[in-house]
Amino acid sequence: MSLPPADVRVGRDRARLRALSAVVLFVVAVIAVAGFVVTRQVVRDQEKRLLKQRADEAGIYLSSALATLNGTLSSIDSAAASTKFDPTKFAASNTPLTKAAGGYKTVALVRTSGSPTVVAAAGAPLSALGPEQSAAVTSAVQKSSSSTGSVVATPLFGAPGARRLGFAFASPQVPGYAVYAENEVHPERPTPVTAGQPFSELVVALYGVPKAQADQLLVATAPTSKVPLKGATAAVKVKVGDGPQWLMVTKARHPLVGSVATVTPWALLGAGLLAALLATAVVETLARRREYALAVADARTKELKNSLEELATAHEQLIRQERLAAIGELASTIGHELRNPLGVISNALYLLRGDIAKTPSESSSRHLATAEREVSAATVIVSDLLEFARQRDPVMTDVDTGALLDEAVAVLPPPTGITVDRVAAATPIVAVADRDMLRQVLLNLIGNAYQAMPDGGTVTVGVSDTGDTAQLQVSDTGVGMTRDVRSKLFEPFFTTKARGVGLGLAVTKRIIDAHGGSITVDSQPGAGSTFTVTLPKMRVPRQSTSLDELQNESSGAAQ
Amino acid sequence: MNRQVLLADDEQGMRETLTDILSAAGYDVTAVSDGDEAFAALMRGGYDVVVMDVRMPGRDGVAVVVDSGAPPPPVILMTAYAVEERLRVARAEGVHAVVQKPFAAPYLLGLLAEVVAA
Repeated sequence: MSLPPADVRVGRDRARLRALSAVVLFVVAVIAVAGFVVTRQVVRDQEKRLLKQRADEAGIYLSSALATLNGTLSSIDSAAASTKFDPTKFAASNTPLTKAAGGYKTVALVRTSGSPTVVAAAGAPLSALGPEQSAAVTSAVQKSSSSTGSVVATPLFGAPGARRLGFAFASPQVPGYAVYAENEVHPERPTPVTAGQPFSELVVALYGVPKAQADQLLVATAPTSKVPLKGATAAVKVKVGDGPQWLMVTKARHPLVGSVATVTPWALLGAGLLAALLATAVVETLARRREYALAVADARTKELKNSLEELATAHEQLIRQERLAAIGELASTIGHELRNPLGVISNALYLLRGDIAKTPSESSSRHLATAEREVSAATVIVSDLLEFARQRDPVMTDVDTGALLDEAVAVLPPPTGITVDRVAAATPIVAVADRDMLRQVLLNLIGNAYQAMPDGGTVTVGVSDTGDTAQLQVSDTGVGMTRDVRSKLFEPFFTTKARGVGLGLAVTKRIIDAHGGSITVDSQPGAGSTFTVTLPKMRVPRQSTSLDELQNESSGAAQ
Repeated sequence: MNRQVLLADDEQGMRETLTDILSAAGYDVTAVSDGDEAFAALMRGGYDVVVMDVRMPGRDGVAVVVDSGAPPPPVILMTAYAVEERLRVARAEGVHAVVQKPFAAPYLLGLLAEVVAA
């Protein structure tokens, strides 16, 4: 079984882990949200229950307050009855009630026979009863006749800002009289919160009717803008004497279940979502780690593969180099071994030329010239082969180029039919070069020149001084060459000759390059060729005149 | 009186052709075929110039020059092999010339003429 490429594997695993982390995130988040919903519902129910409880307590409290009112009006009535409802005494005895802080605005004695009329009033003057006041008094009288006396409240009346609320109490002992007390109500002013249970915990709106009717708002412990109360509220109906019930709407000032309980659902939700994120992060981290490990493994594998390939290449190269070295060694050995027989043949030909001179023969001389030419060619080929196989670095010395040119011509004398024209320079021209290598270059160029002139001609050799360089020139009047041949001239194993291995000019070029010089060729088919070798000349040591220059030179040499 | 040339080369063909060429040019040639013989001949003395191969059985041409100690007659070494270190030793010993085989006979004769004239 073979593994798919790592990037494909990573991609597939990544998709799978993505799906896994999405599922983990979703499941944990759903659990968190469900927990949140359930907990919040429980807390809300508890809150509602507690609020209802507090509202009921507040209702009981209010009822007892109203019972006190009943008692107050009852005692006023009793006092009035004891004075036989004397108006003057009524006013006098009840004035203090209207003077007390938060006391009644008006306390009046009303005769109820027929249409109710005011007999006496303490506090704010009250000469006649308004419709609401009359209705309350009438209702109170009716109630007192059927049962024991009890308070009947008026609905809220009067202009905004001076709303009033009255309570009527029909005398149970002496029919025909009723006590009426009236107060000013300012529902628009929030009533200060009473310390202590249950009101300290509640916002309350009290209506003078059994429903939340804005114009019948009696008291509110919140600004009117907040009334009617919104949100979680609890309403309690409170019995006011024998009159219509009042409605008390309450709302918790702070969560009754406590702030911890309120926060719990949110905390649960937050913790759940955090857990979801953490779980996802863990899954993601594992995924990335795995991905990274895969990538690293892949990189290592690739590196290893590259190393193996490099090793294989290096091994191949080594084998090839060893083979080349072996071939080179063989070529070198053969080349050296051929030099002796070539030398002997050359000597023998020289002797033969001397012998023939005694009995001249045109054909013998021609055959001898052919042999000489071939020995020259063989000599150059062997030298090229050795130079090519050797591939050593040049050992630079000062070389008298003119003398070297002379030596090359002497070593490789022109075959019959060819003359060498040596253009002499006025002074010796010295270049920095490897003598043996440069000699080989000149032998190549001269040998090639001979070969280019199978029907004879002139080879012109010379060296000139161009200042920084020495220029060696070898020209022939031979066959010349085409542009195509010129362009391939310096490639190894390129040859136009029937014999020869095509190493001569490649070796020449390599030697010149190693010397930091250049070689150019100027040639046209049928118009001969001129090879120009340019070599750096040795720099003539300057005659130092100052100590500074000497020191500069010595320090430069030290570096 | 003809100039005395000591010729040392282990190659018979080279020895014979060079003997003929030098004789024809008017030199008296004594040919030997190895380094030890060359050394012995050199010790006996009486040569104006030595033409010697570098690679020979026994002592090589360079060793002959080194071992002879006393200033020898001018020496022209011939070599088919480019053994740079040996040639450097030879040049340090002051040999007159090192000629690479194969060479044109007139080239050698020119060198001999230089030596003899000096």
